[in-house]
Amino acid sequence: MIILRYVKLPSENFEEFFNSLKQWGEINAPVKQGNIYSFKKVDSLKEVSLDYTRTMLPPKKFFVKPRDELLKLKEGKWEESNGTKPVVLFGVHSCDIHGLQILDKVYLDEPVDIYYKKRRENSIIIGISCMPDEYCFCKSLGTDFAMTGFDLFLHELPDGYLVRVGSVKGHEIVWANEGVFEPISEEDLKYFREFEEKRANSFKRSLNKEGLADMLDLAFESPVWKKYEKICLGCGNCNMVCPTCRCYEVCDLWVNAYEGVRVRRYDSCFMESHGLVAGGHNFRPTRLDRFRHRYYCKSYFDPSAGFNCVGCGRCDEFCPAKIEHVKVLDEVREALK
Amino acid sequence: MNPYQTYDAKILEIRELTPREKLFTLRFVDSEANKEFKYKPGQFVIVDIRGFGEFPISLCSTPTREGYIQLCVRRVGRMTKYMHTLKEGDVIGIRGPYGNGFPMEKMEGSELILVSGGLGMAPLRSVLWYAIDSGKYEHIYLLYGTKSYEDILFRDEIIHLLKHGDAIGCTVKLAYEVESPSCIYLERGFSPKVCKGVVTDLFRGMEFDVENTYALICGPPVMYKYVIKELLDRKLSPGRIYMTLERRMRCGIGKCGHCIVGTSTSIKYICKDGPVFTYWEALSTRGLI
Amino acid sequence: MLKLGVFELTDCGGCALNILFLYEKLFDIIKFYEIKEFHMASSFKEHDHLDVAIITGTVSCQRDLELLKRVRNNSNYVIALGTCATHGDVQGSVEGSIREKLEKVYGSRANPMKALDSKPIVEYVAVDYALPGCPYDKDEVYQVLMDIAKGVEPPKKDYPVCIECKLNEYECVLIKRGIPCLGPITLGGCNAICVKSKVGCIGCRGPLPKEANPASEFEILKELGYDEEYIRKKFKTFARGELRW
Repeated sequence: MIILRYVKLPSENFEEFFNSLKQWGEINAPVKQGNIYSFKKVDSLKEVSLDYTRTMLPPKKFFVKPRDELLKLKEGKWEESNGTKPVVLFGVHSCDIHGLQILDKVYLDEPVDIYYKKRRENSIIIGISCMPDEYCFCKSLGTDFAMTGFDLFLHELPDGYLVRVGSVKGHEIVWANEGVFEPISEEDLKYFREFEEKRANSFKRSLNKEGLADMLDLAFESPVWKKYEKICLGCGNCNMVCPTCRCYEVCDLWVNAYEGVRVRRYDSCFMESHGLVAGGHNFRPTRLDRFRHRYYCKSYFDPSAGFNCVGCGRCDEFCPAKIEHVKVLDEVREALK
Repeated sequence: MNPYQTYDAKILEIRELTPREKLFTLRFVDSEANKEFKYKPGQFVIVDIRGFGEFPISLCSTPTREGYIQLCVRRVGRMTKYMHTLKEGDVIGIRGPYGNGFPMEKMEGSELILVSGGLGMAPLRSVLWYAIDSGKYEHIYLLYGTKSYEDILFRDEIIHLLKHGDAIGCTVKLAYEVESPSCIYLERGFSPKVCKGVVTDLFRGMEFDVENTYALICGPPVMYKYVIKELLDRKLSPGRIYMTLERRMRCGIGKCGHCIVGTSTSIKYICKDGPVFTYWEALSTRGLI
Repeated sequence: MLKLGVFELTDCGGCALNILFLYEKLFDIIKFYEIKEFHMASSFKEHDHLDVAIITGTVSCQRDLELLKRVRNNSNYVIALGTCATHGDVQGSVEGSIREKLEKVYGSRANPMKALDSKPIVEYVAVDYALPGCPYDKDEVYQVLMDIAKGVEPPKKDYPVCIECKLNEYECVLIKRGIPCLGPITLGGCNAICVKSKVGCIGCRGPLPKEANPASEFEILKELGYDEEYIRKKFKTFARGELRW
């Protein structure tokens, strides 16, 4: 049972609070790098871009690494790769918290992926409120507000942050830093509500999820897929940046003459080998098959976990062909009428 | 427990079944691992050639014969090509078993129709011998479509069952595509059980009690819909049609995503939800077959 | 011990040199291979039959062609190394016949060196493994040689540059800076080294086999304001006429 508790973190104590987090683990926060944001290790608050839109790679990179060394080959036997260090993910948006919860369903399901589990247990998630940009459509998927999946969640106030505590660890952090927090006032709550309302009204994009799964299933032969097959580059960028895409490929590499490593890396369902089986049969032989497959996978509604999409907008922002997730689904729906 | 760790298994015996397929008989080096390894017909394992990679393969031995496991490997890709160069006594890694397997208990007391084409014989051989050994099934039919005489997997077993199968409640029927003296010899000796044609030709004149029959199918992807048509024409319920499917799984435990099939209304992992599915499931999950 | 030969046809020499840049990792290789010919490394030369032959460069003259055929006939496993060998690279993309080129440069159509139109070696002989790149990633050749030494077929890559670019979390120069980048249609394996330095992918590893969608890439670059002639040239620099739209 999660006890929701609200405290206030005044602006003047913010830096002190931030620095105190170092004792819980290595702080990783969104940092501006050229024209993108990326979760990176930070030493001081001034490196952090708190008003970021979205990082290129979602926080899943801390739990399933882009290139993840699973096993080391020593004298013909696999040794498990070394343990994990505690990390504090500072400034995670609500959509990404939801994304991690979707990954949890996969990686923590039996048999548990021990690498993922260890890293998850060794992490502290500190969420932060945000304002949507032109790509965001999380509100229509219900992932714009996180009820669980974080330790602390910071909501912007004019003079600090309203902090929601989301876990026992979160309580422990507040407990250990009692001095920096204050009780919240009625006024803070009022601002919090106003902020959320303003935010809710700022979304420019929304996904019509009414009967989405059935609608898509009926649209298997839709001409819209054919249209996008020509536009799509099949480059897999959308998969790489997606917080819920989890396909991985495994390769064994030699590190020296007799020792090797088994590495997994993010894979994309746009790759030819994704649906290929021994003997040369390909279950998704064309780009159309693969394009459609991705939309089917993202729009699958799992009664216990919801859609496989959190509306973060990364696939739109990082698609070289400027294919827009919501627009494709709207067009498919339109063509069905 | 690291689910990606593999256990040493020693190759006890290698038999060349055809020029392309070899049968590997394996036993875990660790005796505990041998005891713990329990499987059902239709399940699969992941073979790990350390330093080179892994590949999934179905178990073709039966759990009724303990002490070893058998894998039938066709030389077709880079890993299986390497597997074929291994010798008796070599050690490889194995993890598993994975997948749901065939519901053997549920089918007890019924007639089983095993329909296989080509390499599909491998997982069904596990069912075949499980059913014969346990003696809990009313009758077993094996309909096997092969390209040529040389391609018949487990040829000695198939010929043995053609000769003596009926006495132990197992009728084998064989269809071949490429004519050769050996096939004609078989056809003369075992008419009408052996004929020239494809596996669906073996259904000709076949009747079965739809209330008490299960069909189990495994073969190349193109085979399924033709076989299913024959079964549905004879009014067998889709719930009594089981098929086992293949994908190239990287993990075998529902993580890597390579075996995800379906559409927005139904997504299945072949490795975790399968590889055995009923025809009902195929109807509700597009792309399964 | 496997017998290994490294042969250069017409190229800049970088591909052969890049093998030497494996430095200490070369010692792993010579645990399994005996180097029987490697012009760039040693004047030692002794072989009649090779287990593995690495060939770099394009076939650009009669001497190249003869060497290529001799090596192919006397080797079990031939690796075409570098884009010259696999796709023809820059010299392969120069249009026009050799006689015309000779006349343009030397003022005479005479061809005393028996020059040929530059073509990749894959146009003349079948190769067992093609590893493109201008230059290729040296760890790739290391992995390939190690796999062969251990008796397994080296895996083939099937993904574009974008995949590795994202794995490394490099800023997308095409989307964020409008720099022409052929990453989405170019075979990966280079670890997106150009994009790391904020340079667009120039397509040096050749088009992604079967999967590339150059027509869409063409439209994207056109929308960014590059003219058709520029894009056409960019497309064919390394891939000759292989990218069509």
